[in-house]
Amino acid sequence: MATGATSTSSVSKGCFVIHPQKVSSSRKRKSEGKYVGFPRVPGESDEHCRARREIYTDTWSKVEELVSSLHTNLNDKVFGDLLEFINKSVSSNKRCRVKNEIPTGAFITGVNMPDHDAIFSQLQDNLLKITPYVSRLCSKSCPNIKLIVKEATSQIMETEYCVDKEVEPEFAKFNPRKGNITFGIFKQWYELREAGKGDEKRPVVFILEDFESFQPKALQDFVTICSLYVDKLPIVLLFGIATIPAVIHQLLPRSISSCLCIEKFHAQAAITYLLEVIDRIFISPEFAFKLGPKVFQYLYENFLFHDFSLQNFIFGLKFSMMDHFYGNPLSVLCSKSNIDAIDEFSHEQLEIVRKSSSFRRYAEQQDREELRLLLLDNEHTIKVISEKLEDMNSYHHHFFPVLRCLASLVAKLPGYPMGKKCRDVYEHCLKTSVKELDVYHQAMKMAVFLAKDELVPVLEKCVELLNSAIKKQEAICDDFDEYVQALKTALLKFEELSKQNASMTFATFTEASPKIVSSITNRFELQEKLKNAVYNRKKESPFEKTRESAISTLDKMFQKYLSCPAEQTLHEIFYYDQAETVKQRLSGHPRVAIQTALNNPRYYMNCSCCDIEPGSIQDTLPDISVAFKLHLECGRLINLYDWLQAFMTVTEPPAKAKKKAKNDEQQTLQARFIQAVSELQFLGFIKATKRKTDHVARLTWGSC
Amino acid sequence: MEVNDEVFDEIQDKVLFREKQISTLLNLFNRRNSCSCGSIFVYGHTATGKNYVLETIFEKLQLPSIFVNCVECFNARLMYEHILNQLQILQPDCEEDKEFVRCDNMNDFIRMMKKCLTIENFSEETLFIVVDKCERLRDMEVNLLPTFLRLNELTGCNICVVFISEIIFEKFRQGSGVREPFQMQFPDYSKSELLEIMCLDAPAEHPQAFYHGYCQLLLSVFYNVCRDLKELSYLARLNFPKYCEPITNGEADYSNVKKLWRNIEPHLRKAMSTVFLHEVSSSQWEQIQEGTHGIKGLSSYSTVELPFYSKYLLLAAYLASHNPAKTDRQFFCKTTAKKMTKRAKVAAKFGVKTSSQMKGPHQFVLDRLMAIFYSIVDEKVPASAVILTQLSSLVTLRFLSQVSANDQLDSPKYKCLVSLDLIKAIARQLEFDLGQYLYDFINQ
Repeated sequence: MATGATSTSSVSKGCFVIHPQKVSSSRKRKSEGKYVGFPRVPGESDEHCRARREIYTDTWSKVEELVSSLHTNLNDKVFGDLLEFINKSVSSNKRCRVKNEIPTGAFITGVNMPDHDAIFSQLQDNLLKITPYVSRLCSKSCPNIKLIVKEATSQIMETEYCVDKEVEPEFAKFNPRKGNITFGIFKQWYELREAGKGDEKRPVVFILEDFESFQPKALQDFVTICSLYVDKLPIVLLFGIATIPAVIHQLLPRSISSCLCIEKFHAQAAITYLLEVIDRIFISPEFAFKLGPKVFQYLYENFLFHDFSLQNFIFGLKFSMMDHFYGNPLSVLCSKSNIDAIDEFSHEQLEIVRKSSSFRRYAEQQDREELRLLLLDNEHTIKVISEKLEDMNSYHHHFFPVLRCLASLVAKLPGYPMGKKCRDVYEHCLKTSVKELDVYHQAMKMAVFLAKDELVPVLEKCVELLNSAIKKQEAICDDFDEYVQALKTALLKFEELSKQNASMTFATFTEASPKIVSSITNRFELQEKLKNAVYNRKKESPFEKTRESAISTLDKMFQKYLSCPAEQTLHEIFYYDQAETVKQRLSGHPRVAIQTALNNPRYYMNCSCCDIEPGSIQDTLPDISVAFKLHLECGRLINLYDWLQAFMTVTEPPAKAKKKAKNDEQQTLQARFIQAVSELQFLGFIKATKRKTDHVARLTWGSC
Repeated sequence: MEVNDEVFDEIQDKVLFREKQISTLLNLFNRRNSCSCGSIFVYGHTATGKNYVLETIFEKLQLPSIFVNCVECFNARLMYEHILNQLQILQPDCEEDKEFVRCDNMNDFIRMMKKCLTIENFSEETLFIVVDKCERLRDMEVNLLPTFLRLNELTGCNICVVFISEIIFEKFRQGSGVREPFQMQFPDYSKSELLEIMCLDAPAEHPQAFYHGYCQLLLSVFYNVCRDLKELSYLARLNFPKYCEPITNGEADYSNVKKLWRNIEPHLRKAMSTVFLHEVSSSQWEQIQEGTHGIKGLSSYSTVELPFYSKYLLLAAYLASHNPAKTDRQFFCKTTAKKMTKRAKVAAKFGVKTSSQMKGPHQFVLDRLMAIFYSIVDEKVPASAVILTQLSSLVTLRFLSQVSANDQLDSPKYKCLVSLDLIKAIARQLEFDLGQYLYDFINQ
C-alpha cells in the first residue's frame, strides 16, 4: 500500500480509489505543451517531432477518405439496384394485390464478416433517402419472435419519437417505450403517419443482417406475420446472406417461403475491392508512404487466408503507417511537401541517415574524397540527401506507369507466369528487380510469341499509360518519350503489315511449298530443307521482326525502370518493412505467449531477479514457472509426489532453520505447489487421470 | 334464419364447391340475436377455403367478428389485448384515440369482455371470434384453449369462437376442462374443382375457354407434385404470358393447341424444379426464360468463397464429423499409413452397417478438429488466435454448430452441418482428394 498522502485510514482490507492530486496537474500541463507528437530522438527538433505526427495524421486521413469513397463507389451499383427493386416492388404490389407476396431481396454479402457492419450502415443510409421506415435486425438482439417484433417496430418508431420531441397527441399512445408494440399497433401508427400521402406510401424495410444466425422458428413466425400485413403495409424484407442463397430454403419451409418473392443482389466481392484499394494506394506515386515487400505480402496473405476482411487489412495498413512514423525519425521526410525539412537536420539526425544501410551502400561506392565529405561534411551530406530524395521521387513516378505496362503485358501471357493482376506483378517487383527475376525472363520469352491481335492492344495500352504519365508530370517523365515513339512506330508497322498481309502471306506460302517438295531426293535432304525453310521464314517475316523490336523496347524499359525499391538509396524513409513487428502485433498467438511467459517470465515482468539462461531453474522464478519447467522433464504421466519433491528442492531457501520452523515452511511450500499445479491445470497443460493414483497426465508433448 | 336465399346465393357465387360447409355454418350461427353454438372447430389443409368462407360470410351478413392469428399474437397477453382492442373498435360509439387496453391474465380478460359486452350496450348480437392457426394455442398457457372453448359460458355473453386449424381436434386434447367443439372438415378440392376455381382469375383479354385449356394443361403437369391452390394459381399467373406469346406474336391462334404446348412445355419443366421455392421474382423469372440475363435460381449457387484456412477448417470438421474417431489413425498418421490397429478393424466392421452419410454428422471435440486440420494442411500454420476466430465465424455462418453449452470452455464440441456436395466443391477448389479420406467411401 502506498504511504503518506495516498494511504487510506481504513482498517479493513479493500479497494480504494485514490484520485490523483491537484499538485501534479500543473506540471502535467506543462509537459503536455512539450509533448507534441511522437517520441523524440536525441537531436531532433520539436518541429520535426510534430511534423512526423502531422504527416502521419494527414496521410492517414487521406488514405481513409480514399478507402471510404472507394467503398461507396463500389457498392453504388448494387445499392442502386436494391433501391430500384424496393421502389418497383412497392408500386407493383399495389397493381396486383392477388399475389400477397412479400417482396424480398436476398443481399449476398460474402463471408467477410467484420466488414458487414459498414456495408449495412451504408445500405441503411441509402435507404433512408427513400423511406424513413428502415429497421436493421441482427440475430444477437432477436433470439425469439417477441424480440424480433419489438426490435423491428420500435427501431422505426423510436427514431420518430426522438427526432421531434413534441409528439403530437394523436401519436402519443403509440410511444414504444410505454408498452409492447405489436404489428397491429404499428399498422395503425403507420396509417396515421402516412394518412396524407394518398397512394404513394413509403415502404417499410426490414433488414435482417445475418440471416443465417437467426432462430429458424422465430424467423418463420416473423415472415408469417409480415405476410399477414403485407397488403396493408408495403413491407419489404432484405436478407443479408453471407454464404449461399440456398440457406433461405434451409431455414424456411415451403409453406413460408411461398409467401416470399425473392430477388438476388450480389455485393461486390471483397477481393475486387481490396485490389482496387491496393491499386489506388500502393501502385501510385500519390502517397509517399509505402509498404515493403514482407509487410505487403503478410497483410495480403492475412486477408486471403483468414478473413477476407478489408477492415482488418486497413487496420494493418494503419498500424504499419503509425509504426513507421512513430519509430523512424527519418520519416519526417516521408512527404512530398516536407522534403525541405532536410535543410534543418541536426548532426544527430544526419548520423542516423549515415547509419542507414542504403546510404552506407551508396557512400561505399563513392571515391575516397567523396566518402570523406559524405561522412564528415554535414552540408555536403544534406545536399546529397536532397538530391537522392529527388531521385526517389522521380523513381516512383517512373516505376508505377512502367509497372502497369508490364502488368498489362503479362496478363495476356498463357499460364500467367507473373500472376494475373497488377498487384501480383507489383509484389514481384517489390521483392527483387526485374533484371534478376526468373519469372520475368520467362515472361519475356513468352511475350515474343504473342499473336498480333493480342500484342497490339497491349502496346496501345502502354502508349496510353506512358502518355498519361508524361502529361501528369512533364518535368520528371519526359524520358518516356523515346519509348512512346518506338512503340508508336511499331504499332504503325503492324498496321501496314496487316494491310499487306492479307494478300502476301498466302502468296508466299503457296510459292514456297512447291519448291521444297519438287526437289527432294532423299529423306535427309528433305529434313535439311525443311529446317532451312523454317529458319529462313522465321528470319524473313517482317511481322516477327517488328514484334521482336517492340518487345525488346519494352524489355529495355522494364529493366531500366523496374528496379526494386530496396536498391534505391534512402528507401528506408518511404518503405516500411518491419514484418516481425506487424505479425506480432496483429495476430495473437495465445499459446506462444503463455509459453514465453512460463519459460522466460522476465520477458513480461521485466524484473532483474529472473535474469537466467533459458532452460535453467531458479528459486526467484514465480512458482508456476518453476512447476512448469519441472513438468517439462517428465513423461506422459507425472507423479505428483516426485514433482513436489523437485519443486521443494528448487524453492527451498538455503537457510538452515530450526526443525519446527522448517515444518511450517514445508506446509507453505506445499500450498504454493498445489496452487501452481492447479494453475497449470487451468491453463490446460495437465489434467487429472484415473489410470494411476497420485499421477496427473501431461497434455503437451516433449519439451514445449 | 334471416339469411334469405339471395344472400346465400351471393355467398355461393363467391365461394365455389363449399355449399355444405356454408349451410352448416349458417345454421350454426343461428339468428343474429339468439344464442349460437359456443365453439366451432374448422379444419382442413391449406388453401381449402376455411378463412375465405368465414370472411365472406361475415362480410356479407355484416356480423360483428374479430380475427386473431395465433402466430401474430404469440402469447396470451397479446391475444387478450388484441381481442379487447378490436372489440373497442367494433363498438358503435368508439372514440378515435382511446388508449390501448392493458390486460395480462385470463380473469381480467373475462371481466373486461363482460363489461364491454353487457354494460356498454353492445346489441344482443352474437360476437364471433375467429382464432386462426389455433394449433399454436397448445404451446401457450395451458388454460388458454379450455377457456376459449367455453368463452360464452364463462362470460355469460353471446359469443361464438371459431377455431381454424390444419390438424384434427384429437391432437388438441390435453389437460382437463376441454369442451368438445363442433367439428367441421373442409375437404380438399378435386382436380376438376381446382380447375374451375383457377378459371375464375382468367384475364379479360383472352377468351374464357382458352384460359380453361391452359389451366387444364398446367394441372396435368403439376397436379402430381402440388395440389395447393395458391401455388397453382401462382404458377398459372407466372407462366401465362409465356403461353400467350405465340398468340401475341401472331404465330398461332387460339385453336392451335399443339403449337402452344410445344412452346410452353420446356418452361413448365423448368418451373417444376422450383415449385414452392419462389426463388426468383416474377420479373427475374421472365428474364431467365428469355435467357438474356445471367441470372440463375438461388439453388444454383452451390459454392461459397471462403478464406483459405477456413476451407481447410471446414474440411477437417467434415472429416471429423463423418469419420469414426477410431479410424483417424488410419487416415491421418503418416507413419502407419495403411496399417489399421485391431481396434480400428473392429470399428470398421461395425461401421460398415451404418454409413455416416445416413446417420448424419457426429459431434467432435475441438482438439480432434485441430489435429485433423494440422495434418491436412500442407504448410506449417502457426497456432494463432486468427485460426480460432475463423472457427467461430464458421459457427455463425451455420457451417458448424456448437453442440456443447456455451459456458464449457474446456473442450467445446461441434458438429459439421454442410452437405457432401458443398464440401466436395470446396475440396475440389483445394485440390484435396476427399474420397481418400472419407471412411464411407474407402470401405465400400
